[in-house]
Amino acid sequence: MIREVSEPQLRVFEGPFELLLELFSRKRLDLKEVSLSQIIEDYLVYLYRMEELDLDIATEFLSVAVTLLNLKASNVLPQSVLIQEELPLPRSPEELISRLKEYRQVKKASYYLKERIEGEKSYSREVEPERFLLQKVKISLPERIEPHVLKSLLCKSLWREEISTDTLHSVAYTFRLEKKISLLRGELKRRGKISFKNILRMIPPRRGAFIALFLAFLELFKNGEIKAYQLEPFGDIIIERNEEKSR
Amino acid sequence: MKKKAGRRELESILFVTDRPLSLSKLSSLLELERGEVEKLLEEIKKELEERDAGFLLKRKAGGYRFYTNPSSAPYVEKLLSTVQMRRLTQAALETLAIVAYKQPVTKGEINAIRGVNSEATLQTLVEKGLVKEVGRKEGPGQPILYGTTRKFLEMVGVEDLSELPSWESFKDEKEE
Repeated sequence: MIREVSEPQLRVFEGPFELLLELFSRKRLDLKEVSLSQIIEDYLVYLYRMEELDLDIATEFLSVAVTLLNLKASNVLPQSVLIQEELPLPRSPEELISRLKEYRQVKKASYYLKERIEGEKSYSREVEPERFLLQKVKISLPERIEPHVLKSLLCKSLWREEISTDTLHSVAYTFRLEKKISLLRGELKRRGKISFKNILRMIPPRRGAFIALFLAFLELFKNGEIKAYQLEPFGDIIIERNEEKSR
Repeated sequence: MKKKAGRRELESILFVTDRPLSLSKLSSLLELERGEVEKLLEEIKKELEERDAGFLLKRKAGGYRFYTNPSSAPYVEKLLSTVQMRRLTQAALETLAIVAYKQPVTKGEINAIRGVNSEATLQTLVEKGLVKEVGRKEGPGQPILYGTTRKFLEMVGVEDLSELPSWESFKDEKEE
Protein backbone atom coordinates (compact mmCIF):
# COMPACT_ATOMS: atom_id res chain seq x y z
CA MET A 1 0.00 0.00 0.00
CA ILE A 2 1.19 3.46 -0.74
CA ARG A 3 1.45 5.97 2.07
CA GLU A 4 0.96 9.69 1.76
CA VAL A 5 4.04 11.78 1.25
CA SER A 6 4.23 14.27 4.09
CA GLU A 7 4.32 17.45 2.00
CA PRO A 8 1.77 17.57 -0.76
CA GLN A 9 3.03 20.53 -2.75
CA LEU A 10 4.68 19.57 -6.01
CA ARG A 11 7.91 21.27 -6.76
CA VAL A 12 9.37 20.90 -10.20
CA PHE A 13 12.45 18.79 -9.95
CA GLU A 14 15.17 19.10 -12.49
CA GLY A 15 16.05 15.40 -12.47
CA PRO A 16 15.48 12.16 -10.64
CA PHE A 17 18.58 12.59 -8.51
CA GLU A 18 17.34 15.90 -7.23
CA LEU A 19 14.02 14.37 -6.26
CA LEU A 20 15.66 11.35 -4.65
CA LEU A 21 17.95 13.60 -2.68
CA GLU A 22 14.95 15.58 -1.48
CA LEU A 23 13.10 12.41 -0.49
CA PHE A 24 16.12 11.14 1.41
CA SER A 25 16.68 14.39 3.24
CA ARG A 26 13.01 14.74 4.09
CA LYS A 27 13.30 11.52 6.03
CA ARG A 28 16.24 13.05 7.86
CA LEU A 29 17.97 9.75 7.67
CA ASP A 30 21.47 8.73 7.00
CA LEU A 31 21.73 7.70 3.39
CA LYS A 32 23.14 4.38 4.46
CA GLU A 33 20.41 3.46 6.88
CA VAL A 34 17.38 4.54 4.98
CA SER A 35 15.00 1.82 3.94
CA LEU A 36 15.05 1.59 0.21
CA SER A 37 11.47 0.38 0.08
CA GLN A 38 10.22 3.53 1.78
CA ILE A 39 12.04 5.70 -0.68
CA ILE A 40 10.71 3.67 -3.58
CA GLU A 41 7.17 4.12 -2.34
CA ASP A 42 7.58 7.87 -1.94
CA TYR A 43 9.17 8.02 -5.32
CA LEU A 44 6.29 6.20 -6.95
CA VAL A 45 3.78 8.46 -5.25
CA TYR A 46 5.62 11.35 -6.76
CA LEU A 47 5.59 9.74 -10.17
CA TYR A 48 1.82 9.22 -10.04
CA ARG A 49 1.38 12.91 -9.48
CA MET A 50 3.61 13.95 -12.30
CA GLU A 51 0.94 13.80 -14.95
CA GLU A 52 1.61 17.24 -16.32
CA LEU A 53 5.33 16.81 -16.83
CA ASP A 54 6.63 16.33 -20.29
CA LEU A 55 7.47 12.89 -21.55
CA ASP A 56 11.24 13.29 -21.67
CA ILE A 57 11.54 14.19 -18.02
CA ALA A 58 9.00 11.58 -17.00
CA THR A 59 11.04 8.91 -18.80
CA GLU A 60 14.15 9.82 -16.85
CA PHE A 61 12.22 9.64 -13.59
CA LEU A 62 10.76 6.32 -14.63
CA SER A 63 14.17 4.89 -15.48
CA VAL A 64 15.37 5.72 -12.00
CA ALA A 65 12.20 4.23 -10.52
CA VAL A 66 12.95 1.05 -12.44
CA THR A 67 16.49 1.08 -11.06
CA LEU A 68 15.20 1.53 -7.54
CA LEU A 69 12.81 -1.38 -7.95
CA ASN A 70 15.60 -3.39 -9.47
CA LEU A 71 17.85 -2.61 -6.55
CA LYS A 72 15.11 -3.60 -4.17
CA ALA A 73 14.48 -6.79 -6.09
CA SER A 74 18.15 -7.66 -6.07
CA ASN A 75 17.99 -7.59 -2.29
CA VAL A 76 15.25 -10.19 -2.36
CA LEU A 77 16.09 -12.28 -5.39
CA PRO A 78 19.44 -13.69 -6.31
CA GLN A 79 21.06 -12.45 -9.54
CA SER A 80 18.57 -10.00 -10.92
CA VAL A 81 19.31 -8.64 -14.34
CA LEU A 82 19.85 -4.90 -14.47
CA ILE A 83 18.90 -2.78 -17.41
CA GLN A 84 21.29 -1.05 -19.75
CA GLU A 85 20.47 2.59 -20.32
CA GLU A 86 21.85 5.62 -22.07
CA LEU A 87 22.15 7.43 -18.78
CA PRO A 88 24.30 5.04 -16.79
CA LEU A 89 22.23 4.01 -13.80
CA PRO A 90 23.48 2.86 -10.44
CA ARG A 91 24.00 -0.87 -10.14
CA SER A 92 23.81 -1.32 -6.40
CA PRO A 93 22.39 0.51 -3.39
CA GLU A 94 25.94 1.52 -2.47
CA GLU A 95 26.51 3.01 -5.89
CA LEU A 96 23.20 4.86 -5.78
CA ILE A 97 24.12 6.31 -2.42
CA SER A 98 27.57 7.38 -3.52
CA ARG A 99 26.01 8.96 -6.61
CA LEU A 100 23.54 10.86 -4.47
CA LYS A 101 26.32 12.04 -2.20
CA GLU A 102 28.28 13.28 -5.16
CA TYR A 103 25.20 15.01 -6.48
CA ARG A 104 24.76 16.71 -3.13
CA GLN A 105 28.31 17.97 -3.44
CA VAL A 106 27.44 19.35 -6.88
CA LYS A 107 24.44 21.14 -5.36
CA LYS A 108 26.54 22.76 -2.69
CA ALA A 109 29.19 23.80 -5.19
CA SER A 110 26.48 25.30 -7.38
CA TYR A 111 25.17 27.41 -4.47
CA TYR A 112 28.69 28.63 -3.90
CA LEU A 113 29.14 29.59 -7.54
CA LYS A 114 25.76 31.33 -7.58
CA GLU A 115 26.78 33.41 -4.61
CA ARG A 116 30.11 34.31 -6.16
CA ILE A 117 28.71 35.14 -9.58
CA GLU A 118 25.74 37.14 -8.35
CA GLY A 119 27.79 38.75 -5.62
CA GLU A 120 30.21 40.27 -8.11
CA LYS A 121 28.53 43.61 -8.55
CA SER A 122 31.46 44.97 -10.47
CA TYR A 123 31.22 45.11 -14.24
CA SER A 124 33.70 45.54 -17.00
CA ARG A 125 33.75 46.21 -20.69
CA GLU A 126 32.20 43.44 -22.74
CA VAL A 127 32.24 42.90 -26.43
CA GLU A 128 28.74 41.99 -27.43
CA PRO A 129 28.82 38.54 -28.98
CA GLU A 130 26.61 39.59 -31.87
CA ARG A 131 28.81 42.48 -32.91
CA PHE A 132 31.84 40.30 -32.62
CA LEU A 133 30.30 37.62 -34.78
CA LEU A 134 29.18 40.11 -37.41
CA GLN A 135 32.76 41.22 -37.87
CA LYS A 136 33.91 37.67 -38.40
CA VAL A 137 31.23 36.46 -40.76
CA LYS A 138 31.41 38.95 -43.55
CA ILE A 139 30.07 37.34 -46.69
CA SER A 140 31.17 39.13 -49.78
CA LEU A 141 29.09 38.69 -52.87
CA PRO A 142 30.13 40.27 -56.13
CA GLU A 143 27.83 43.06 -57.27
CA ARG A 144 27.44 41.55 -60.69
CA ILE A 145 28.10 38.02 -61.76
CA GLU A 146 29.57 37.96 -65.22
CA PRO A 147 28.54 35.08 -67.49
CA HIS A 148 32.15 33.96 -67.97
CA VAL A 149 32.59 33.71 -64.18
CA LEU A 150 29.56 31.48 -63.96
CA LYS A 151 30.88 29.37 -66.80
CA SER A 152 34.27 28.89 -65.21
CA LEU A 153 32.65 28.05 -61.87
CA LEU A 154 30.48 25.48 -63.59
CA CYS A 155 33.50 23.93 -65.30
CA LYS A 156 35.33 23.81 -62.00
CA SER A 157 32.52 22.14 -60.17
CA LEU A 158 32.12 19.63 -62.95
CA TRP A 159 35.84 18.96 -62.88
CA ARG A 160 36.18 15.29 -63.49
CA GLU A 161 37.68 14.96 -66.93
CA GLU A 162 39.43 11.73 -66.06
CA ILE A 163 36.61 10.06 -64.19
CA SER A 164 35.41 7.03 -66.02
CA THR A 165 31.70 7.27 -66.51
CA ASP A 166 31.34 3.85 -67.99
CA THR A 167 28.38 2.84 -65.91
CA LEU A 168 27.24 0.08 -68.25
CA HIS A 169 30.14 -2.13 -67.31
CA SER A 170 30.60 -1.59 -63.67
CA VAL A 171 33.55 -3.33 -62.12
CA ALA A 172 33.93 -3.70 -58.40
CA TYR A 173 37.12 -2.03 -57.25
CA THR A 174 38.29 -1.94 -53.70
CA PHE A 175 40.16 1.04 -52.34
CA ARG A 176 42.12 0.96 -49.16
CA LEU A 177 41.92 3.90 -46.81
CA GLU A 178 45.26 3.00 -45.21
CA LYS A 179 46.96 3.30 -48.58
CA LYS A 180 45.49 6.71 -49.18
CA ILE A 181 46.52 7.85 -45.73
CA SER A 182 50.09 6.78 -46.29
CA LEU A 183 50.04 8.42 -49.72
CA LEU A 184 48.97 11.70 -48.15
CA ARG A 185 51.50 11.37 -45.35
CA GLY A 186 54.27 10.59 -47.82
CA GLU A 187 53.48 13.51 -50.08
CA LEU A 188 53.24 15.88 -47.13
CA LYS A 189 56.55 14.70 -45.80
CA ARG A 190 58.17 15.21 -49.18
CA ARG A 191 56.64 18.53 -50.07
CA GLY A 192 55.29 19.99 -46.84
CA LYS A 193 52.32 21.58 -48.61
CA ILE A 194 50.15 19.98 -51.26
CA SER A 195 47.05 20.69 -53.23
CA PHE A 196 44.17 18.24 -53.05
CA LYS A 197 43.66 18.47 -56.81
CA ASN A 198 47.25 17.51 -57.52
CA ILE A 199 46.99 14.49 -55.27
CA LEU A 200 43.85 13.44 -57.10
CA ARG A 201 45.88 13.31 -60.31
CA MET A 202 48.22 10.79 -58.72
CA ILE A 203 45.63 8.12 -58.07
CA PRO A 204 43.58 5.94 -60.42
CA PRO A 205 40.74 7.97 -61.91
CA ARG A 206 37.99 6.10 -60.17
CA ARG A 207 35.25 7.61 -58.10
CA GLY A 208 35.90 5.12 -55.29
CA ALA A 209 39.56 6.08 -55.17
CA PHE A 210 38.62 9.75 -55.00
CA ILE A 211 36.22 9.06 -52.13
CA ALA A 212 38.86 7.02 -50.29
CA LEU A 213 41.34 9.85 -50.69
CA PHE A 214 38.87 12.37 -49.37
CA LEU A 215 38.11 10.13 -46.39
CA ALA A 216 41.85 9.79 -45.76
CA PHE A 217 42.10 13.58 -45.84
CA LEU A 218 39.22 13.92 -43.35
CA GLU A 219 40.76 11.33 -41.04
CA LEU A 220 44.11 13.14 -40.93
CA PHE A 221 42.31 16.45 -40.43
CA LYS A 222 40.25 15.03 -37.57
CA ASN A 223 43.22 13.74 -35.64
CA GLY A 224 44.96 17.06 -36.10
CA GLU A 225 47.86 15.86 -38.21
CA ILE A 226 47.15 18.32 -41.00
CA LYS A 227 45.82 21.81 -41.54
CA ALA A 228 43.71 22.64 -44.57
CA TYR A 229 42.29 25.73 -46.14
CA GLN A 230 40.78 27.09 -49.34
CA LEU A 231 41.84 30.34 -50.92
CA GLU A 232 38.36 30.97 -52.28
CA PRO A 233 34.93 29.35 -51.99
CA PHE A 234 34.90 26.09 -53.99
CA GLY A 235 38.61 26.52 -54.63
CA ASP A 236 41.26 23.87 -54.36
CA ILE A 237 42.04 22.55 -50.86
CA ILE A 238 45.56 23.32 -49.69
CA ILE A 239 46.86 20.79 -47.20
CA GLU A 240 49.74 21.41 -44.81
CA ARG A 241 51.31 19.41 -42.05
CA ASN A 242 50.30 20.56 -38.59
CA GLU A 243 53.73 21.10 -37.09
CA GLU A 244 52.51 21.24 -33.46
CA LYS A 245 50.82 17.87 -33.75
CA SER A 246 53.00 15.77 -36.05
CA ARG A 247 55.62 13.75 -34.35
CA MET B 1 60.75 58.78 -31.87
CA LYS B 2 58.30 57.27 -29.44
CA LYS B 3 58.48 58.49 -25.85
CA LYS B 4 58.98 55.92 -23.11
CA ALA B 5 55.60 54.66 -21.92
CA GLY B 6 54.36 55.51 -18.46
CA ARG B 7 51.25 55.71 -16.39
CA ARG B 8 49.29 57.58 -19.08
CA GLU B 9 49.89 54.84 -21.66
CA LEU B 10 49.07 52.11 -19.14
CA GLU B 11 45.78 53.81 -18.29
CA SER B 12 44.90 54.12 -21.98
CA ILE B 13 45.45 50.43 -22.55
CA LEU B 14 43.46 49.44 -19.48
CA PHE B 15 40.67 51.73 -20.65
CA VAL B 16 40.33 50.09 -24.03
CA THR B 17 40.84 46.39 -23.27
CA ASP B 18 37.93 43.95 -23.24
CA ARG B 19 39.76 41.28 -21.20
CA PRO B 20 42.09 41.20 -18.23
CA LEU B 21 45.69 41.81 -19.33
CA SER B 22 48.45 39.89 -17.65
CA LEU B 23 51.52 41.56 -16.24
CA SER B 24 53.73 40.11 -18.94
CA LYS B 25 51.31 41.23 -21.68
CA LEU B 26 51.26 44.77 -20.30
CA SER B 27 55.00 44.86 -19.95
CA SER B 28 55.52 43.77 -23.56
CA LEU B 29 52.90 46.23 -24.85
CA LEU B 30 54.42 49.15 -22.96
CA GLU B 31 58.03 48.02 -23.41
CA LEU B 32 58.55 48.35 -19.68
CA GLU B 33 60.00 46.07 -17.04
CA ARG B 34 57.45 44.01 -15.14
CA GLY B 35 58.50 45.69 -11.93
CA GLU B 36 57.81 49.13 -13.41
CA VAL B 37 54.38 48.06 -14.65
CA GLU B 38 53.55 46.58 -11.26
CA LYS B 39 54.46 49.83 -9.55
CA LEU B 40 52.30 51.85 -11.94
CA LEU B 41 49.38 49.45 -11.51
CA GLU B 42 49.61 49.76 -7.75
CA GLU B 43 49.67 53.54 -8.08
CA ILE B 44 46.56 53.66 -10.26
CA LYS B 45 44.76 51.14 -8.06
CA LYS B 46 45.44 53.11 -4.91
CA GLU B 47 44.50 56.43 -6.40
CA LEU B 48 41.15 55.16 -7.71
CA GLU B 49 40.32 53.54 -4.38
CA GLU B 50 41.28 56.62 -2.43
CA ARG B 51 38.96 58.92 -4.32
CA ASP B 52 36.24 56.20 -4.46
CA ALA B 53 36.16 56.48 -8.22
CA GLY B 54 33.42 55.13 -10.48
CA PHE B 55 35.77 52.47 -11.76
CA LEU B 56 38.43 50.49 -9.98
CA LEU B 57 41.44 48.54 -11.08
CA LYS B 58 41.18 44.87 -10.17
CA ARG B 59 43.16 41.74 -10.74
CA LYS B 60 41.05 38.79 -11.87
CA ALA B 61 41.63 35.68 -13.95
CA GLY B 62 45.34 36.35 -14.07
CA GLY B 63 45.16 39.92 -15.38
CA TYR B 64 44.23 43.53 -14.78
CA ARG B 65 41.44 45.71 -16.10
CA PHE B 66 38.96 48.33 -14.95
CA TYR B 67 35.73 47.31 -13.26
CA THR B 68 32.85 49.48 -12.15
CA ASN B 69 32.63 50.39 -8.50
CA PRO B 70 30.25 47.89 -6.84
CA SER B 71 28.47 50.79 -5.16
CA SER B 72 27.21 52.03 -8.52
CA ALA B 73 25.78 48.62 -9.40
CA PRO B 74 22.08 49.58 -9.18
CA TYR B 75 22.61 52.29 -11.80
CA VAL B 76 25.07 50.39 -13.95
CA GLU B 77 22.72 47.42 -14.09
CA LYS B 78 20.01 49.59 -15.61
CA LEU B 79 22.26 50.11 -18.60
CA LEU B 80 23.85 46.70 -19.01
CA SER B 81 22.31 43.87 -20.90
CA THR B 82 25.07 41.64 -19.56
CA VAL B 83 23.38 41.54 -16.18
CA GLN B 84 21.00 39.07 -17.75
CA MET B 85 23.98 36.93 -18.63
CA ARG B 86 24.82 36.55 -14.98
CA ARG B 87 21.51 35.03 -14.10
CA LEU B 88 21.94 31.30 -14.38
CA THR B 89 19.30 28.66 -13.72
CA GLN B 90 19.89 26.07 -11.02
CA ALA B 91 20.45 23.47 -13.75
CA ALA B 92 23.06 25.68 -15.39
CA LEU B 93 24.80 26.32 -12.08
CA GLU B 94 24.98 22.59 -11.32
CA THR B 95 26.37 21.82 -14.74
CA LEU B 96 28.84 24.68 -14.37
CA ALA B 97 29.94 23.32 -10.98
CA ILE B 98 30.55 19.87 -12.47
CA VAL B 99 32.57 21.30 -15.34
CA ALA B 100 34.56 23.52 -12.99
CA TYR B 101 35.48 20.72 -10.64
CA LYS B 102 35.66 17.72 -12.95
CA GLN B 103 37.21 19.27 -16.03
CA PRO B 104 38.06 18.10 -18.57
CA VAL B 105 34.73 16.34 -18.61
CA THR B 106 32.44 14.84 -21.26
CA LYS B 107 28.73 15.38 -21.68
CA GLY B 108 28.14 11.76 -20.72
CA GLU B 109 29.98 12.18 -17.45
CA ILE B 110 27.96 15.30 -16.63
CA ASN B 111 24.73 13.46 -17.40
CA ALA B 112 25.76 10.59 -15.14
CA ILE B 113 26.43 12.88 -12.21
CA ARG B 114 23.24 14.89 -12.58
CA GLY B 115 21.14 11.88 -13.56
CA VAL B 116 19.51 13.96 -16.25
CA ASN B 117 20.33 14.97 -19.79
CA SER B 118 22.36 18.17 -19.65
CA GLU B 119 22.81 18.83 -23.34
CA ALA B 120 20.78 22.04 -23.55
CA THR B 121 22.21 23.44 -20.33
CA LEU B 122 25.72 22.78 -21.48
CA GLN B 123 24.97 24.54 -24.77
CA THR B 124 23.74 27.61 -22.89
CA LEU B 125 26.95 27.72 -20.88
CA VAL B 126 28.99 27.48 -24.06
CA GLU B 127 26.96 30.31 -25.62
CA LYS B 128 27.54 32.45 -22.55
CA GLY B 129 31.25 31.85 -22.89
CA LEU B 130 31.62 30.22 -19.47
CA VAL B 131 32.41 26.75 -20.79
CA LYS B 132 34.28 25.71 -23.90
CA GLU B 133 35.46 22.63 -25.73
CA VAL B 134 38.95 21.79 -24.61
CA GLY B 135 39.64 18.66 -26.62
CA ARG B 136 38.45 15.19 -27.27
CA LYS B 137 38.60 12.12 -25.13
CA GLU B 138 40.41 9.08 -26.45
CA GLY B 139 38.15 6.14 -27.07
CA PRO B 140 34.94 5.30 -28.91
CA GLY B 141 33.27 8.30 -30.52
CA GLN B 142 35.99 10.62 -29.26
CA PRO B 143 33.52 12.61 -27.14
CA ILE B 144 34.11 16.33 -26.67
CA LEU B 145 35.78 17.35 -23.44
CA TYR B 146 34.58 20.54 -21.74
CA GLY B 147 36.37 22.97 -19.44
CA THR B 148 35.79 26.41 -17.99
CA THR B 149 36.94 29.64 -19.64
CA ARG B 150 38.84 32.73 -18.58
CA LYS B 151 35.49 34.49 -18.51
CA PHE B 152 34.28 31.99 -15.92
CA LEU B 153 37.21 32.88 -13.65
CA GLU B 154 36.50 36.55 -14.14
CA MET B 155 32.82 36.16 -13.38
CA VAL B 156 33.47 34.17 -10.24
CA GLY B 157 36.17 36.68 -9.37
CA VAL B 158 39.14 34.40 -8.87
CA GLU B 159 42.66 34.34 -10.24
CA ASP B 160 42.66 30.70 -11.26
CA LEU B 161 40.90 27.42 -10.52
CA SER B 162 43.07 26.68 -7.51
CA GLU B 163 41.45 29.62 -5.74
CA LEU B 164 38.08 27.90 -5.70
CA PRO B 165 37.29 25.98 -2.52
CA SER B 166 38.25 22.34 -2.81
CA TRP B 167 35.75 19.79 -4.04
CA GLU B 168 36.12 17.99 -0.72
CA SER B 169 34.90 21.08 1.13
CA PHE B 170 31.42 20.56 -0.34
CA LYS B 171 31.08 17.18 1.33
CA ASP B 172 28.83 16.79 4.34
CA GLU B 173 30.69 17.61 7.51
CA LYS B 174 28.84 15.05 9.57
CA GLU B 175 29.94 12.19 7.37
CA GLU B 176 31.95 9.51 9.00
